[in-house]
Amino acid sequence: MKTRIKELRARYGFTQEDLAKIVGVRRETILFIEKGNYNPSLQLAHDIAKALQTTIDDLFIFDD
Amino acid sequence: MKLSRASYPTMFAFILILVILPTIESFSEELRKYFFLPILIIVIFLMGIGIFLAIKDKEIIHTKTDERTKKVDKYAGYYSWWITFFFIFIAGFMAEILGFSIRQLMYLIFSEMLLTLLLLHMYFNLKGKF
Repeated sequence: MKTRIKELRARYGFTQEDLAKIVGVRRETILFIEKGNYNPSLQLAHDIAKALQTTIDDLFIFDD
Repeated sequence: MKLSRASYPTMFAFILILVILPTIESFSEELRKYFFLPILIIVIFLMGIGIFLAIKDKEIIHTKTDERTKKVDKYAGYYSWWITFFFIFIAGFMAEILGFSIRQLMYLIFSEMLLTLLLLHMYFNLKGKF
């Protein structure tokens, strides 16, 4: 699964640390999600999408 | 040392009580009597804002764990606040027993806060780098 987290983070000027703090996880967790090495829970996905002012559909690109 | 937003009012309080007030007091006894109480009120107000923001930003009371690691990260600010609360409790007793003035108690508490904050930030920033 790919994500647009890095792209949207850059748009809003968030570092991984900033985003991690907003959604209540460690910076490494954001890194893992960005690299596709961790699938976040629905709640976390929602929180990240909300922080980046987008939707889950727009944020995560699923391999169909 | 990266300061969170809760640290800014706390830092202003430190500067007021540990730098500005002694500087003003060094000029004259009159100024000392005139400025102590207003500055103390402002400091207490700033500390209240600092504590409120620290609680709001989960720097004192953690309610969220990282879902991947199941860990709660505790940083310098977290330990610093709790050590200070404990110190205030102890210092209060000492002040009562030894008869400290309010001024002495304030200087003691804020000196401890600044020292603890700095030492803990040093520890967390430098941990694993030597």
